[in-house]
Amino acid sequence: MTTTATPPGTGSRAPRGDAPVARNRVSSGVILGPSIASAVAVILASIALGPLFDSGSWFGATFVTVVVVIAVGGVATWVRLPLFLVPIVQALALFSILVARFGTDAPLGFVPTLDAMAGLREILSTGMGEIDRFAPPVPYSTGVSAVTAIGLGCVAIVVFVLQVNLRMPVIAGLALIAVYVVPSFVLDDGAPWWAFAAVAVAWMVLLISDERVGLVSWGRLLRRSEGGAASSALSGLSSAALRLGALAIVAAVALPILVPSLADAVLGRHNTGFGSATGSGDNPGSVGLDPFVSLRRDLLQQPDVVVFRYTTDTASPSYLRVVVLEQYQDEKWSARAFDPSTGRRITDDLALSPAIGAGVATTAQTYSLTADKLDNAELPVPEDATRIQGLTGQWYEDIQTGTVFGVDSTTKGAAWKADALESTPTTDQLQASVVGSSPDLESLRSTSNVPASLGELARTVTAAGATNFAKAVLLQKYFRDNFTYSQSAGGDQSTSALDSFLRDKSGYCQQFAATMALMARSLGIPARVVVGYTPGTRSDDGTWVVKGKDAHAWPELLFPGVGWVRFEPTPRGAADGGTVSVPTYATQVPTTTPTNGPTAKPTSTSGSGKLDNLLAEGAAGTTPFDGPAAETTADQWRARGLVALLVVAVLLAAVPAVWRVLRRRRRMSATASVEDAWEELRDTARDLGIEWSDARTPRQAVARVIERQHLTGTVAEAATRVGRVTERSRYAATPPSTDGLTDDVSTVRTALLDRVDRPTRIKAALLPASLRRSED
Amino acid sequence: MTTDPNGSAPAAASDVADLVQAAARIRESVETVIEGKGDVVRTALTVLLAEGHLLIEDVPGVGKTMLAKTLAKSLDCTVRRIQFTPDLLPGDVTGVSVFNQESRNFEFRPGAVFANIVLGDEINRASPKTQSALLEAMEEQQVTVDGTTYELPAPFMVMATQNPVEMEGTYPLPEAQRDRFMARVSMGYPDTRSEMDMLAGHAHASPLDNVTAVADAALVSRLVEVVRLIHVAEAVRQYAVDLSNATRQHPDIRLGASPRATLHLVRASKAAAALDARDHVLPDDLQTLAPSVLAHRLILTADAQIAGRTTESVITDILRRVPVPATARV
Repeated sequence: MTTTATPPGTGSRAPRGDAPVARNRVSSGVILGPSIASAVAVILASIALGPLFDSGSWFGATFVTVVVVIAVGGVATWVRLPLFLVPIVQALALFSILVARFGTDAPLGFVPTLDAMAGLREILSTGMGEIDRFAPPVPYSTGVSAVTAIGLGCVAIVVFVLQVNLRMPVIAGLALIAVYVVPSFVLDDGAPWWAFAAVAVAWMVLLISDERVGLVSWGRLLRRSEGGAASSALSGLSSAALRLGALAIVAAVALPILVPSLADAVLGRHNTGFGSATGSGDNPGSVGLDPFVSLRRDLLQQPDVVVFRYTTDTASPSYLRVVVLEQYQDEKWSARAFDPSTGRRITDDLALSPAIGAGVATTAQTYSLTADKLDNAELPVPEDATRIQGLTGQWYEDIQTGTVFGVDSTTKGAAWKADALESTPTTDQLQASVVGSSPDLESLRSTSNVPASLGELARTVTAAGATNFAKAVLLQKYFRDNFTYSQSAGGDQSTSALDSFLRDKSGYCQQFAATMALMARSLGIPARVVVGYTPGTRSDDGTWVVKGKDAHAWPELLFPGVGWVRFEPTPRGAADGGTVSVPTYATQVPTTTPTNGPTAKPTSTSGSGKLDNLLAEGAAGTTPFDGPAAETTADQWRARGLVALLVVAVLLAAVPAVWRVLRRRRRMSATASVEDAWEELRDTARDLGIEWSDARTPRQAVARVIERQHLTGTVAEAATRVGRVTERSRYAATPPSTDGLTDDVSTVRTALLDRVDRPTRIKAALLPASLRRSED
Repeated sequence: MTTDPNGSAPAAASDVADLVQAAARIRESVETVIEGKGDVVRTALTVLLAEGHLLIEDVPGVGKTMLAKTLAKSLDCTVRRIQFTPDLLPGDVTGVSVFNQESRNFEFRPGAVFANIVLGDEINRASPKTQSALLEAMEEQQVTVDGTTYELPAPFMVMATQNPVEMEGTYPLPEAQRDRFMARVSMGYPDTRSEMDMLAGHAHASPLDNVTAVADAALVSRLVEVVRLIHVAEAVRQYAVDLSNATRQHPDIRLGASPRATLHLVRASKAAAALDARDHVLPDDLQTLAPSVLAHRLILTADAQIAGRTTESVITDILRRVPVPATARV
């Protein structure tokens, strides 16, 4: 009975007549099938991008790119290129197809040389710019098409490598989810349900394909007829893929419930700045755009375009603030980043809290505004607005500055009403105001970036002033008396521009406002620059019309106990056809000494330190920050959205682990059968990467585990007992005693876990290999 | 010949223990002569207890006949030896009817096959007609001469030796007839130690002279009864069928295992289980016996032969791939 042992597999490599056919069949199963599945999956997933664009024209290039990239990957795998080369070859193919489709003058039409790539990059950056600029649906352009093609080409590479080379369909599915994430974040209402369905189906395609590969690579099924093999493929399908599919659908239902407005919450973008001019917001402190850029454009390029109109019940409407700039750094005034999380959502009921001192006389006014050409992320509002009504979309008030900004909302076509208080502080009140010290105030009068020469000039000019208010009026007088208005001055704010402004004594509103605010700061007066509009001109029918030329910038200085007080250094008046007006309180330099002067107790010394307290000292009626507390701000939604997304991601990632734990618990329970215990031992071994063949008898399987894992002593005995009990339970006439069986399995399990390294243990816990096999 | 697992009581533990003891005595006895061939001896014993017949195939001079003779002598039962030659007639094997002048009747003269153990030496040297006569007796356990049927004694076991077919002057056994043998074993050359011991032993006298009977026909019959009661679970039967099916579908095999082969495999496994003091058959038993029980029945495809495959290697391959069922599927 000496049997001639032949090395395993020798026979299958034997040169037989039908060998090449057989090899082709294996190749087609292992490469062709999953490749096609990858292509189908990525193309299906790309459907999810549909709602982002206004036409389907981008799809053609994407389709071709995905197919080519995957075909190249398939061929690369088929010729047995090393794994790391496959994505590189695919990337080359991706660039080639993109160059061929979008590039110009590439050698042979498709060779991705550096020059050709540079051209491609240009097209891509154009496309990115368009995607940035337009709210979805983005109109079709070559650039947009190139961006989607390269994006989905990259996804195709990732999916292909994961699916075909690494056989990890579950993780490949994550790449598909990345595609889905784009519309779900960008679109206001989230991605439509069918986008999710497309991605879910795409994932199922990957899973089913992998199941089939699993069957093919198992080899010829000896004990089954062809019909049996087919039914086994179906059972594989029905197990893992369908279960995961069901899971995906549950997640699809759960996600919208957890995250009511995912799109708004997670990635609210201020996609337009002040005006809709192009430009990149490279200054992180400003809102997408430099407000001055649009100011200048309004002034110079569209002076007669009607920006918006309004009606009001007052004869002398206030300036209309748009953006308040409080930071001076890098030789430039900029706004703080507006953040919905620190703002208050504007609703019809929300009472705003203008910072007006207690004793200051006020008159209520109402404004009714309608946007004309205005398309802006910040809302023009009258000074000291108390209520804003009629807005649609999401608008927030930045509490510190009062700037009203939209999140994914612009003023395009908007109409809104504003109640405001016109404050008329007396000269005495202004004279009496003294600036105390508090951290908030310090930042508003920081002179750290102000050129020393400017401080010198400010002190010289205001030498005659006894109080802050007197000094402020002197500053204003200095500009109005000595400077002329000119729109031809340079638009930049650099020090040299400042110097030339002071030297030439000529410039336009932006420079006046910026320079006066700086000089005020250098004198210790808190100051800021406001960009907005003058009241405009009143038409015959009583409507006020605000045109591009009414765009304006002005300084505001803080007088504690009174509030932010507007000054007007820009010497432009009715004579120029402009609508600039000097506030009445600042028309004359106060000569009287303050009645209570410096002895007045500065409110800021109360130590509260809160700017708003300083500003609105004793303000009647409203207290800052007491807006509807229960209102959910966008930031909370954003946080909830992220948490929910994280929870879902963690839950999804934990599914295999939990599934495995539940299975173990069932198998190790008191009512579990011998086969359950045996399967638990088997799956533990498989999870840990220990080779386990179903063609071994229990005795052999246990012996092999003991030998390979070097089990000794009680552990080896326990393992042997498990094998013997299983054996007797299966094959003996009388069933064995199962006492201690689960304990033995636990013992072996613990020992096996001890014998592998930590990464293997973690992998066994999170991605149990035993779940990959369909049970039959 | 399968045992209905529900029909009869399983083998008693004491019976199995007796069997193990008796088998151990026989093995010891045989191994005093056939040294270093424990597995061959065990297979021979398995076939004996499973009521099968054994084909011993190997080159001349490695102890094929000695194995058969020793086993026969260890059992105190009738032993006949037939030296097969091309001119041997069927009647020499089965017996002939001779006309008795005194009684004026035909009288049956039993042939060499009428014994508990029949040693068919170099069976492939006989003409096919003679081979068939023996093989019919093996299958039917009876001989029919001139219309009269004569029962063969029990236990009845044929141990046939065969030279490899490449040897000159042989008639290779047709596959249908090879199928009648429960198992085929190869003696193989002894290892150096055993061969040197053999030289020392044979110098004085034939070691066969020292062999004494340690069992008799009645005991063997009893042991056979015990083996019949060994439990075969459904899952094991399923496994046996799976293995046979696998040989039938294997791409390298032209002729797969017959249902008789499946039957023989299970019966041999029962004996092997009993020899291991177990009252039930394990898939392990089937795996151990599959090469000896199945290999001589399979015929490779021409391609596989050219590729140098052997039926044993195909069976090893099958054993590695066919899952061991936990339960029967049907």
